[in-house]
Amino acid sequence: MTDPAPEPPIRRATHGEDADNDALRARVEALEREVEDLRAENDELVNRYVEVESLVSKLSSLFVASVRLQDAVGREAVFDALRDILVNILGVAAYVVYELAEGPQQLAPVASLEAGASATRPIAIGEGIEGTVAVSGKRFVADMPDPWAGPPPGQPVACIALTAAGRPLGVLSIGKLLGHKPGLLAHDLDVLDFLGAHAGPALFRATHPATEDGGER
Amino acid sequence: MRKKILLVDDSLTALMIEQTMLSRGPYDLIVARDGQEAVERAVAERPDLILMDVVMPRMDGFEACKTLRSRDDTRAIPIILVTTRGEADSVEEGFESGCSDYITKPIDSLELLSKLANFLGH
Repeated sequence: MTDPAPEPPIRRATHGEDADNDALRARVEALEREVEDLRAENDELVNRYVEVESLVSKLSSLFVASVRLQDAVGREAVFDALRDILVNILGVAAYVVYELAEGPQQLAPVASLEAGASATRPIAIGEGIEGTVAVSGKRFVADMPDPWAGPPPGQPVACIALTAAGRPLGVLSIGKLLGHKPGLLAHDLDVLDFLGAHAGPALFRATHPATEDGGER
Repeated sequence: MRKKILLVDDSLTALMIEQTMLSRGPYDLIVARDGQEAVERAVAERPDLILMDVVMPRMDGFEACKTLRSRDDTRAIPIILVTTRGEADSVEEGFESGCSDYITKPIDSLELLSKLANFLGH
């Protein structure tokens, strides 16, 4: 058996090599800091992109809703546009549009989707959530601690007044959202407010074509 | 390089929303209003991707998807179905009809752009 070859002696770095190593180490650390900074900047840009894209999306929704209502000529066209907006922009599965009936103070259902018996039952002014919203003009949104469970029994998901020139014309009551949509988000409420202010005048113009001012200016 | 996308929906609102979302990207957009027209336009225009609603008159999205998959000239086109129903059975029916992916209404622009990037490589 032969003895193992002796390990080469560890050579001490010369003073010049130490300096080179220190410089390289410093350079590596500087580059690592630069990478970290770039990563943080990238994250910020991604967040900003998501923010801007969401804002653009929200504005696009309002723009499209506005165009659809403005272009609707005739009551049926207004109701079609409203249904299209509710389903495609808000993800609504069931709703009823009530109009303030002339004569007896009640809300008469005039358009609906998947609303069952609610689609035919008039509501007295001041009765229930719809009747209250018609009087107050204030938006109602159900408190849903578990959004997937939907609103409490007997309550709509949301209800808004449809107005023209400050006068109540009726209400829009949303009974159910599409199954995969957990609830109304902040920008959905903006769309709802927009509908409250613009669907009313569109309906007024369609109902009274000879009248110049539907109330919206 | 610009890509051609065929948007299919009988809802004017849905089409306008999709057009607004995609018009800022490198896409040329063409439109069909039902499944039958979608098949005709896909054969004539050979889009790079089809974004198609499910519930439509004349021919629904599932049927159009099956027809497009049965033709040699349109078989390879990625199809994203747009559905109002995100439930498992509806999604399964979509994949059985041959769709490449699906997205639910109301469309989330970031989700749509991300899916397009997956298929079109942007």
